[in-house]
Amino acid sequence: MPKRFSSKRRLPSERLCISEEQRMYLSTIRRRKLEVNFIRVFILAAFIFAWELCAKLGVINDFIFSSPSRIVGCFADMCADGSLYRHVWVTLYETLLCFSLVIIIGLASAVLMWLSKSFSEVIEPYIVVLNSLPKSALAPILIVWLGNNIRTIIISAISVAVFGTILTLYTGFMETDQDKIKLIKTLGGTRWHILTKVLLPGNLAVILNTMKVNMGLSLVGVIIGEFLAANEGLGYLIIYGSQVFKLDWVMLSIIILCIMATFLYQLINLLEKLLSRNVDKSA
Amino acid sequence: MAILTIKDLDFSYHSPQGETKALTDINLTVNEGEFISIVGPSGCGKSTLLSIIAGLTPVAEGLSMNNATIGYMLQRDHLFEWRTIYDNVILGLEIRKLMTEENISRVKTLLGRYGLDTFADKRPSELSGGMRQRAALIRTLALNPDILLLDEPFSALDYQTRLKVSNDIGRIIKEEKKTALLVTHDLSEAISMGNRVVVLSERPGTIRKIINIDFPKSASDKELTPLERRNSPEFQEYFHELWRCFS
Repeated sequence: MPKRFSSKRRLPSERLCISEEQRMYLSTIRRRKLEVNFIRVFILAAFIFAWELCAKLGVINDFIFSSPSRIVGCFADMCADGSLYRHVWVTLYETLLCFSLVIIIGLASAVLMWLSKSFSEVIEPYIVVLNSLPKSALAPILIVWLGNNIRTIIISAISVAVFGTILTLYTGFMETDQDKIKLIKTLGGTRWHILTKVLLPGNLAVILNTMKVNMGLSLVGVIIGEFLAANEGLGYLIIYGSQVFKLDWVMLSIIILCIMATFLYQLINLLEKLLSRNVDKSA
Repeated sequence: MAILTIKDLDFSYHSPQGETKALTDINLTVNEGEFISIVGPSGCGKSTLLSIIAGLTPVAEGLSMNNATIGYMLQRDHLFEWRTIYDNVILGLEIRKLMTEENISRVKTLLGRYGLDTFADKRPSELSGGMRQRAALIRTLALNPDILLLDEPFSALDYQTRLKVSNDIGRIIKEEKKTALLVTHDLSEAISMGNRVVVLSERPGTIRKIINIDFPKSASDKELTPLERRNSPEFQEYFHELWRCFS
């Protein structure tokens, strides 16, 4: 509301010729932003430079610590023989598959729990226990049961994220304003209408937040899975590289994981913008 | 003509702690076109009574309706922020699959008549409290109900807005020739809007008194609006009569 008033009250001419103080204020903000960005880039550059320098001067052993130039060389080699694409693609594919399955299973279970009070009462303690269980403890059993393959990776990754998702979504559904549900009933709506007209749209923010958390957790789960049961993927490259003392592989994989995590997070942000554009249009 | 008859209605709540009698021995006949205000102390079961009439709280016996359809207006407007005003007011039509051309044009007429047509594409947060409440009423009217149940629909508004909105809503209900039951805490509101005021006792709620409200018509032979009623000399007398029921 206040936003609307302020933009109405201010005439266009006033907006064009801003006061000296406002100009000063804006330039202070701009300068601060520049400073922060500069320092951020500087820290990264200084770190890379120091790393390279220490490696060149022999302060650290670049066989164990690797070095920026070795990583770049390794990157070029692996791009040339195509093996890097394969590893990146496998990890990305597994993460996205796991993420989609977690969201589908999570939403479906939360809806089921909301639909049936008895079901949720029976199932809730199990989910709470499974949620607090360290999921890596399950991985050895999964390898025995499912074998050394992608199924084990996907299932162990899903187990990392799915229980928390169910609990968060279910809590969101249960916290929905009872009067909004009553409203649907007074208009003659069924449970299906309550679900589609109130629960899901009203919990969009909750769903998007769990998506953000899940993207990260899926990546964590997939890397853990690849540590244990894989012969390709970035997690495999990290564990194998450390075993055969190819630390260049390990470092390169970690850097690529950083970039991949950022990219996946931005993907959800984009989705959030697209979905809430309608609602925010007015704000 | 009686549109709704309540006969010897009893109702109890059940909880693990025991049974609570909420309503007992309620008898009330509502005629078509009547505006009935229901007042009573907090927790006397006013809202429960509306809930029962609306069919949200099922009862075995005591309620007979002359094939009348019910519209319900809640305490707060509960307009959905993820829908535009237009999408909000057609919510009931959407749910009941009644999106016929006739119904849609009726909704558009209502929006126009009550000054919301230019806000149809806006979000609820862009409207004032009074406009939101009008939008909520149109959402209820969209299904063309015979009886409107109003559950303290003005209690979330500040005093000035409240006077204005209750005046607006009262006028709209009269114009659309609806039967209405209004639950309120506010004795002045009950008198200014109702043809009859039903006074409920403390829990278990039963009808203590029914006061007929009869204001003389205005100079142009029209019924007084709620605001005009508040300014007429009879208002104080009714207020005192009603107040005596509580002391």
